[in-house]
Amino acid sequence: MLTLENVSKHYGHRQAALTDISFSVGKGELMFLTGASGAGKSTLLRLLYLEEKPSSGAITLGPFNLSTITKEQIPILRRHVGVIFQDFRLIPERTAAENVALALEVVGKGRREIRRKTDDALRLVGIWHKRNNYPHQLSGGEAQRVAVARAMVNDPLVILADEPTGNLDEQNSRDLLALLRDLNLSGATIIVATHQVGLAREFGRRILHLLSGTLQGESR
Amino acid sequence: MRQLIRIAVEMWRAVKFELLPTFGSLLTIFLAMILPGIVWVASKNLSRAESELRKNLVMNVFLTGELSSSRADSLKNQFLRIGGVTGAGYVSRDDALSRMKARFGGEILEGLDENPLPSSFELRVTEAVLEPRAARALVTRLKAFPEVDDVVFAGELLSRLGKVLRSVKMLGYALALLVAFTAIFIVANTVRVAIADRRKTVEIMQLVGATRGYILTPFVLLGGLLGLVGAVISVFALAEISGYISRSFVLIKFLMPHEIVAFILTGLLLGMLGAVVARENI
Ligand SMILES: Nc1ncnc2c1ncn2[C@@H]1O[C@H](COP(=O)(O)OP(=O)(O)OP(=O)(O)O)[C@@H](O)[C@H]1O
Ligand SMILES: [Mg+2]
Repeated sequence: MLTLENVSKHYGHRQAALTDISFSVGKGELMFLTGASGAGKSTLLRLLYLEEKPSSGAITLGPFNLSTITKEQIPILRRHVGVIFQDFRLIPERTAAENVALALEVVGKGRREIRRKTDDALRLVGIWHKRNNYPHQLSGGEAQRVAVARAMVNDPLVILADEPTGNLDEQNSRDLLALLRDLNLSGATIIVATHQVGLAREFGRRILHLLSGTLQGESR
Repeated sequence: MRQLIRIAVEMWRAVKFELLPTFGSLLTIFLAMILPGIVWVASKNLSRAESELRKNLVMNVFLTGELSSSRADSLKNQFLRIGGVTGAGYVSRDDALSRMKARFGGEILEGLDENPLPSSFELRVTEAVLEPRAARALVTRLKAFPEVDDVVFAGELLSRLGKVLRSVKMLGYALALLVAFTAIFIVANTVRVAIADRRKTVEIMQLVGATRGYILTPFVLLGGLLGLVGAVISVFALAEISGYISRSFVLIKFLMPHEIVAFILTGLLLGMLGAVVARENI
C-alpha cells in the first residue's frame, strides 16, 4: 500500500530532517509514528501528502509514485489521502457538514451523493447532531471529529494524522484514538504521528520510533 | 448551476469582510473608466461633425450687388467650369433674409428697415479643395470676377478640426491605456487582499485536493465582476453627462449599443486580468 525506500529530506543546506527512512505499511494497518519534538514526524507525513518532496529516495502510495508525481497531479493524489491535524484545520465560515462536504465537492461528486456520504460520515464520528454548527461552535473534541469525518469521507488510501490529540484533553484524546481504531477496524489504513508514546502503546499496534530524523526501530 | 451557486457563495465569502475596500476599488474603477469614456464620446461626436462638414463642403461667394436671373445663370455656368467646383446655387438678398429669419426668428432684424444682407453664390466643392494651397488658388480665382466681393470658406476650420480630432483620439488612447493599467492594478490589489484574507481556507482546500482552477475561479470572477460593475456604472454616468450636455449646449450622440457592450466587456476583461495577475502562489 505505502512504501518508503531510503527516503531523505533536508531543508536547504541545513542538517537533514529525515535520513534514509525505509518502511512499508500494509492495507488496513493502523500504525503509530513517535519521537521527540523535532524528530521529523511532521516532515515524514508532509512527504506523504506532498506538501514536500523527498530530497532522495522513493515513495509509492497505492498506484501513485510520489517521487515522480507532477505538480498538476498533486490535487488528484490528495483526494486519496485524508489528513488530520492538531489544529483541526476546519474552514471557519463553513458549518461542520459543509466542511466535510468540501472534500466531496472538489472531487466533483453529485449533490445527492455529497449529502448522503456527508451524513454517513458525520454519523460515524458521532457528530451528526452538530452538523450545522460552525467550527467556533464546536468543542476541540467535536471539531477533531469533524476533521476525521472529512478525512475519511472519500475512502482514502491512507489517513494521516499529525498529533491529532495535541489540542485535546486526556479523555478526548483517548476517545479520538478509539475512533481512529474503529475506523481502522472497518478497513481504513491509518498513520498517527504522536509524541505520546504511552497513549500509542495502549493500542498494541505497530509503533515506529524516530530520533533526529532516523528510524530507530519499531515496537508494539 | 450548483457550480455557479458555489462560486457565487465563495465570491461573497471572499468580500464579506472587505466590503469597504471592495466598494472603494469599485468606485475607483468607475471613476477611472469615465475618463476614456468621455474622450470616446467626444471624439465620436467630433468625427461625426467633421464628416458632416466634409460632405457639405460649401464655399460662400459674396457678391457686390444683386444680379438679374440671366446674369446669375451665366455666372453660375462660369463657376461650374472651374475645377473643384461641383455645384453652384444663387442666393439672392431676399433669400438670404428669409433664411436668416427662418433660422434666428424675425426679431433679430426688427430694427432695420433695409435688408443688410448681400447676395451670394454657394459653391459645392470637392474634398481636394480642403488642401490649403488648392483652397487659396480657388479663392484667388473667384475673387478675380468683378461681381465677387468676398469669399468665405470653412475649409480651414475643417482642417483645424481634423487636427483637434487627432489629438483627442491620441489623448483617448493614452487615457485608455493608463486606465486599463490602473483598473488591473486596483483589481489585482483587491483580489490579493481577498486571497490573503482567506489564506487558511485556500490552504485547506488544497489539502483536500482542490485544483488551482477550482480555488481561483471565484476570485477571477470576483475581479471580473468588479470590472463589469465599474464599467456599467461608468456607462450610466456617461449617459447622464452627455444627456446633460445635449439638453444644455449642443446635441451630442451617445455610444451605440454595441459600443456600450464593448465598453462593459472591456471592464469585465480588465477585472479578470487583474485577478489573474493577483493569483500568486495558489
Ligand atoms: N519548513 C521547514 N524549513 C526548515 N526546517 C524545517 C522545516 N520544517 C521542519 N524543519 C526541521 O525539520 C526537523 C523535523 O521537524 P518536524 O516538524 O518534522 O518535527 P516533529 O517530529 O513533527 O516535531 P513536533 O513533535 O514538535 O511536531 C526539525 O529540526 C525542524 O526544525
Ligand atoms: Mg510535528
